[in-house]
Amino acid sequence: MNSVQPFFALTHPTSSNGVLPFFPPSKFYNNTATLLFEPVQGTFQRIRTNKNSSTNDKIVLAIKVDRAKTSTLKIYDFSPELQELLISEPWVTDFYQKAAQLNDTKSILPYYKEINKIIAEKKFKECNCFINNIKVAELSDILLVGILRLTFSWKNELPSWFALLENAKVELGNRHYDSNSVLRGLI
Amino acid sequence: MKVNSVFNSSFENIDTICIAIGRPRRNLNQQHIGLLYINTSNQVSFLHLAWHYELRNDYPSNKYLWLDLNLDPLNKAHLAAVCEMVYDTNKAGIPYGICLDGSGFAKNGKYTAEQIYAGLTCATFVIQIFHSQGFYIIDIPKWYHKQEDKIWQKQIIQALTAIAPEEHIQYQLRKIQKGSARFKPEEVAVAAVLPDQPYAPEPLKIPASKLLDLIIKHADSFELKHPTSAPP
Repeated sequence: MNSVQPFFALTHPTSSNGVLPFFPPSKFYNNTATLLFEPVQGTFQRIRTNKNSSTNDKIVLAIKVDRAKTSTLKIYDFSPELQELLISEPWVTDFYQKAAQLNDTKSILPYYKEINKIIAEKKFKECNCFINNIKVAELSDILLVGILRLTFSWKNELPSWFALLENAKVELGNRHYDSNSVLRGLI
Repeated sequence: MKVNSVFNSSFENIDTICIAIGRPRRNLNQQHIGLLYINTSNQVSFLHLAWHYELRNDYPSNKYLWLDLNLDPLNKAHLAAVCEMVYDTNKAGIPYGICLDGSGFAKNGKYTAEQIYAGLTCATFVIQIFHSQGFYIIDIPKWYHKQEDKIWQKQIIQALTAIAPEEHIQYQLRKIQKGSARFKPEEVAVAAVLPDQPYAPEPLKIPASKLLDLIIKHADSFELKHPTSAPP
């Protein structure tokens, strides 16, 4: 039976040009050794931990790489839909990485336009996958209400919208907002 | 309900987004409304449907008053981004039409119409921006056509005749014949700024009338202080 590696034990040698290719899945099968892993900002990696099943696979985003080469990672459960979304809509990676800092009109507008674009193209599966993988704790205050408002006209096409609403209510409360007031018209 | 003007404040002092309303031509019994907001270049922008396929996003004239919205800072910032997006998405313009049915931004920020000749007025444009984001300011089913609405609607269609295709005019005339509720700019302005939305027409009568008085007074005093100013 293949052992599942603790995710943070997975590391990778630094590549010479600083940009990492996708990890060949075979490198991780039954590998109990710690591998060096240095993600590059703006990229995502799929990590396989079990050759017989993708159940425990993860997608990791590097959200901060500083001069000391320390990185903050965001980890998502792997799904083919999420991988496809991150490839076909590169702004999604960017959004997940920066969502906590998007706290004014100027910074949110480019993402609003992208969200509207996929809705206009009726890419509901993609939009739902985007919403489904949003972590409310990592959204800026404006985005906690903005994403819900921007997409609410299509909520019946987006099953994950309702879970996002419930999670946003709790998160707004945690941040000492009156969620009933801030989300009025949506609840 | 605090009403601001260039005589007591400055456009640069607005809190992210607000309602702007005025009587641009003093001699015409006609108000105009739009949304005043701070755009991504940190400049004040006035988003308004000026006329048939004339969606504008420009610096406001001093002839406008402005009123703060009944919204928290998060929703104000969101709505300001939506305003800029609506302008970017609809640069080809939005048709002018007297009937609200089947027109709006509810789907994707782009103006949509169920009927090819449907359109919006300056006031219904503002209503639809709010409603598209879940801010229900007007209780639309409670607004009914009034006989007096027809007078204004026929005047506006008369003016539209000069620039819109015949089919568009005929569609508007059919709507007038059937009876289409009018949403006056001053009613929409107070609905957007007062608490306890959405509004039926009756509770808005007094505040809208008070606002109209201020609009007329401002237009008069502005004309006295700037007698040579050109209309926008």
